[in-house]
Amino acid sequence: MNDVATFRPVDIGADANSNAEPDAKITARNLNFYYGSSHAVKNVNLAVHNKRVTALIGPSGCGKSTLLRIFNRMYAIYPKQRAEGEVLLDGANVLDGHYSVNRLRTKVGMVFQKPVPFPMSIYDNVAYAIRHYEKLSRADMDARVEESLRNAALWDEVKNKLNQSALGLSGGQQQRLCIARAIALKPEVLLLDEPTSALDPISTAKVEQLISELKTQYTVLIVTHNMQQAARVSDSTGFMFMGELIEFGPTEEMFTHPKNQKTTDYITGRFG
Amino acid sequence: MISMWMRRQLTDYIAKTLGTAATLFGLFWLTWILWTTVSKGLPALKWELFTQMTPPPGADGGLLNAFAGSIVMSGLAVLIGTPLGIAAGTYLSEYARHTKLGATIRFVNDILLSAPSIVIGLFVYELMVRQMGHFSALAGAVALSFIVLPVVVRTTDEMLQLIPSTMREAALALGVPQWKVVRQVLYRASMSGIVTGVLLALARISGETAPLLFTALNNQYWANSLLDPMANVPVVIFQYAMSPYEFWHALAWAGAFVVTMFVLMLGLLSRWLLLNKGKIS
Amino acid sequence: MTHPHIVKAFDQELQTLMSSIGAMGDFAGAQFSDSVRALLHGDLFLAQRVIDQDRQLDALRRDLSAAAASVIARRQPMANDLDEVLSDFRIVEELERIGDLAKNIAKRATAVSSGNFPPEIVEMLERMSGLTAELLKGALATYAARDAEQALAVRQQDEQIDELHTTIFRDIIARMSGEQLEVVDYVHLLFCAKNIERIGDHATHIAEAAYFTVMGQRPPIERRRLDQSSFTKKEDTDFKIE
Repeated sequence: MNDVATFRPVDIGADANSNAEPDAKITARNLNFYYGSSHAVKNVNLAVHNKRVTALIGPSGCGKSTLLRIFNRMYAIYPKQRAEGEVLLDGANVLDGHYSVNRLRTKVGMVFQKPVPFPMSIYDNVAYAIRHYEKLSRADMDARVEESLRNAALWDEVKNKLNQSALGLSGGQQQRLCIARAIALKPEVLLLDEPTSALDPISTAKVEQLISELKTQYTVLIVTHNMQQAARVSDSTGFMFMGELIEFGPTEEMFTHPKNQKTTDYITGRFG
Repeated sequence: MISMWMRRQLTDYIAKTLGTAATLFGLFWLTWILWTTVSKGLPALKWELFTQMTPPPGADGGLLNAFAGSIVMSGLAVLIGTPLGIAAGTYLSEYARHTKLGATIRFVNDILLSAPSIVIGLFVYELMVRQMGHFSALAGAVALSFIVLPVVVRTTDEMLQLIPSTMREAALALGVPQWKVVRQVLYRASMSGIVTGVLLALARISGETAPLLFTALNNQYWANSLLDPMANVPVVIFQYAMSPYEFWHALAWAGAFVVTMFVLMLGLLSRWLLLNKGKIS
Repeated sequence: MTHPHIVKAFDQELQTLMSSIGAMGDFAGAQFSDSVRALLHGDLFLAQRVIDQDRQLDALRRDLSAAAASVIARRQPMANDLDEVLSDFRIVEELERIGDLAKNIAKRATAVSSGNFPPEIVEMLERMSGLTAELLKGALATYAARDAEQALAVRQQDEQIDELHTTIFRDIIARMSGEQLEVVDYVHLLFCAKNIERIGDHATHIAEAAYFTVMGQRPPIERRRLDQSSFTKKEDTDFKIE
């Protein structure tokens, strides 16, 4: 009489286009990191998939932020820190001395935990890095700034006060400004280091919504200590502990049926 | 049989009393000095101070060339000392924050900071006055700049170190080279602090007498060029205070009063700057 | 009218749950109608199909429960969002049980010879199952429309079903003393009537869950249960059937 309902509700929580096996955009290979003599990241192998969100979780001090900061060679400004191993971006090892650090940072952008707007106007904040790399006419620069602010879901709130100091924005707005600033250079990879831990719940929700929109254009690697957030926003998750990458897999599996006992203990809050 | 509680109360009371007494002691002298300056200097204020030159012995006049000379030499000293100081302070903070070299430079800078100004005057005397054969305003400015320099170095270094590392990292993460980050972001963030340092240095050299004694000396008239000795307020005060003439004493007090007020203004200005524009993050 | 969630995926997930439950409800309703038709018209092919398709309802229950659990784990819903997801759990269970009862009816349909059913019984059973199907549809509609008032009204329809069940129960037992049909057939009919009455009960639970979604608490008034079959005594069945 009626159609046999081979009705299958869309899998809740999984990515809509997760059918094809995604390719790796940026890969860490045999990566080790040292703060002086302290071995902070131990032999990590990690493939971050193209145009997906990958999350890194783990207890405090496990090395997830350290690992993140290797990807754009942020450690290079501190003399006692060094990395060994390879990080391949589209096949090229970016840790190599011959690969220009500044060129790397235009391809791999970063947003930090605490919003740090520069002490200049909102417009200048976004235009800052563009001005260094491109000579744009006033009209082109305006368009570029608007595009970045729109993509960061901030345009409507600031379009009438672009010349005001960025320090006058609220915390959530400042963080979205930092995101706009980072994507102004159109990087290929975005590194987010606990981007919402300093924000209130509404701003956090706005940034999470933003991340789901950003992943259509950028590869995102996010470090978070909020497990529910990792479960909400990411496609793949890696669990780190004491500098090692204990487990890495699709988010759905990691949070329902992790393979490693340590992962289970951390996720259920049984960590000793 | 005093309980422990009572003993503590007693100790507290004694300490508080001693501390208050010490403060009052210091304040007492400070107030007296200020009061004397104001009471002697205020009545001696007159328009001629700013319109007439320093008088020959026995005559009355003003302090026009002294004020002008102090302004010129202080201004020159700031002009020499500030760029050098900012550059050195930037180097210390950005490139040598934890190195041995940096520590050494900071140490030497601190010595220079607290060096007796008469030693600096003597040094410049040997270096410039003896070589040139005469006193000069230039030598005076150079001596003053040696006092300005370590203050600006120290302030710049500390103000830049106060900027949270996240701001540096955020700018560098955009692929902008380090020197540009320093110039465009870090200076803007610490500008009010650095300017305060310069103002404080200026306040300090406004009253320095010893270095000028050996270098610029004094001049009853206008100096024709920087290579001539130039009149300046501290040395004039020194000279006139020890003179036998009453009206010269009055001029000295007036000069002291003006200088004190100037330094007070500078102090208030730097405080206002720090309060209003001192936001770094 | 409330604002949508800031994170759009949250709204999408709730919406997906709601429409999936609607589809599962439609499917359960179809299983029920088919099973009764198979019983009363002796359609063995239809009966077998109902039995086979029940595993799809089980699969739906598994998937939708897991999906609702996932929403709770990841989104940490609060207030009315939480009430909604808890109701979803409840409704999914009720629908699966309705499916099981329909399967039971279908199984019994393969065991009876329907050609010999007395027309009065058939008519009453058809009426009863019609009312029940309507009740189920109505309950699901109040859930989709988030209509608390309508949910309370729909509950009342169960009273008619209960009364009918009492009547059928007594009628069948009275007939069993006659010679018209095999006792086996009558017993199966008794159970099927009971199953239909229970489906009605489950449907009212769905209406109550719909009320809970909107109001955040159970309906204040206990509904009247008019099913007297459990109190049936010999005297109640001592009447002759013409």
